[in-house]
Amino acid sequence: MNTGKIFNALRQGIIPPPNEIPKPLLKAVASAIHVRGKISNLTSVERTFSALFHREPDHVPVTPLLCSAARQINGISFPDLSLDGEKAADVFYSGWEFVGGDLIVLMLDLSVEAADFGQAMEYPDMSTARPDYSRPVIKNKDGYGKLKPIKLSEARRMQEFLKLCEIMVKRVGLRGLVGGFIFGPAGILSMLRGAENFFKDCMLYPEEVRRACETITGVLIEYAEAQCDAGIPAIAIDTLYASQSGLPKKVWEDIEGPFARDISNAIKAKGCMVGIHNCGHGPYADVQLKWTEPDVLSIAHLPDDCGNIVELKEKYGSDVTIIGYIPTQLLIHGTPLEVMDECRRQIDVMARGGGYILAPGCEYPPNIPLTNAFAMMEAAKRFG
Amino acid sequence: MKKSEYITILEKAVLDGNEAEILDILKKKGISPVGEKNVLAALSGGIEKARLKFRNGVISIPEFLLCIDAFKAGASLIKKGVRENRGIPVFIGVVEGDVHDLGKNIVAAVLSSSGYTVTDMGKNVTREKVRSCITGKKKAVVALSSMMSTSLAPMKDIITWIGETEPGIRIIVGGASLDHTIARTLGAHGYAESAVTAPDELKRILATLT
Repeated sequence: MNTGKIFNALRQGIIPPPNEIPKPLLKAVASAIHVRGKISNLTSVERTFSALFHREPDHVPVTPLLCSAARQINGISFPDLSLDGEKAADVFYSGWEFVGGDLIVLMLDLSVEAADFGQAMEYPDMSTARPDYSRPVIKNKDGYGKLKPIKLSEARRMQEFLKLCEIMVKRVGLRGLVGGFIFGPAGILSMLRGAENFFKDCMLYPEEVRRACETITGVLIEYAEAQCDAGIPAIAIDTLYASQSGLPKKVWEDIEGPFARDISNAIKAKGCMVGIHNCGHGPYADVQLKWTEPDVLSIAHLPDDCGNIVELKEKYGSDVTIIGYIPTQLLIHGTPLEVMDECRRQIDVMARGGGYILAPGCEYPPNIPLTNAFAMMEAAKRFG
Repeated sequence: MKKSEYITILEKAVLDGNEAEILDILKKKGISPVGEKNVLAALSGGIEKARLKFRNGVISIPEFLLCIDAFKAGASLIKKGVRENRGIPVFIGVVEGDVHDLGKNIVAAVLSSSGYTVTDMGKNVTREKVRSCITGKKKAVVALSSMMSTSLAPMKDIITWIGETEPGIRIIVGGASLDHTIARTLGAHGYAESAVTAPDELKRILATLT
């Protein structure tokens, strides 16, 4: 227990690194919050904390994962959101103020790290930033070996993201939990090579790919530590390809597993919590938990070894807090009542005993009205 | 080597994702012993078996991609006239605003091996690009893909335009941001959840084309 870190954080009015506090004490506090929640409304931090330690709060915590959808509130452009940490903070903060939520996850886009590794990018007006795949950094299998580490201090987009973290942590303070985000090394390599070629390379040239993962991971560890130093108490690692949308299970374990573990361990060494975000179909919850031992699992679809939501809760509900998994398509076409119905269906199974945070399966669709985000907030209060 | 053995070896090489073996066999044995149509049928048979294995979770996306590469390598050695003009033309592309084409590439290969003449319109496809492909076509299919929800508006624009001006064109859509309801709302004739269901869904909507 690092009391210096804890008091320093509290003195600054921000959430201390949770894992600096002994687990038995955290569990005792969670139990006390659970009791308090039966007789009065909890704060967002109390509610989230209680759920994270598998005690039922006053109602299920919720995060609408507005991310870039919150641009609609203050009219900030997609390019500005991607490239300017201060403007990005205005977007995330106004989303939280306007719609609400117990947890804010700072998911900008999946190209932040790739951009700093030299990938040519496009910054469209009406969509999130994306690689220009006509100019990939890695053009063939030999390209993996040519990849060099970069200096975090000179990484423009990652530095802007760290600025976003610092601003949000200070602005939100003790009123809510702000989570960081890192795309895993396999995902970053797919941005530098193109997903199709990357997948084939994983099968044909796994050793080359693995070495490039190692190169990238060194930088990602530094990046994760910097997010923790900025006051972020929990970081989500996106290991998208550990799913049926990506690599075979054994191949993922060989290529990304050990590096995801290293990043997870670095975050934990800073006293922070680890989340895994995976919006692929049939995520491999078993091996992701095995390699990263996260506190949180954020999903958009049932894991490959779960036939239904009841099985999900039974198999993983006590090992990890699950965040999710209202379908993107429902948020796009559903009425608010249909969205609330689905929220209720999931809450009824997942919220029992805590360990659940209601959320979309992935970020809220950026260009649709915010109505269904409000529906999710209402559902959490009404049914949670 | 017997004709049937030759065909079996080709099919298996596609199913194994072995591009080098396909090229080796076709160059050493030549195509004429069995004929181009039979070679194409064998390659297509391999992809169809791969599709079923993918549906049943026996092979993964990367393995399926290697099967597709093997199929394409073999198909490239067959005369264009035999490869194309085999069925209803299908124009497939990723809608404007989106560049994720992995799913589209898999569906294109599956439909090609299912006997359709597939033209790949590429990524970031605009209404103008679609227009240039289908103008003058009495019957055709436009297959539109989008992984990102931000491309749904341009997708709707293309679908609406086709519906108003090209009655002989059928539209099928797919991609991570879509489902049956969204496809219907956009005005598409069909929705393919994945490369596994694309051929059957295409058959279903073509039955409405007189």
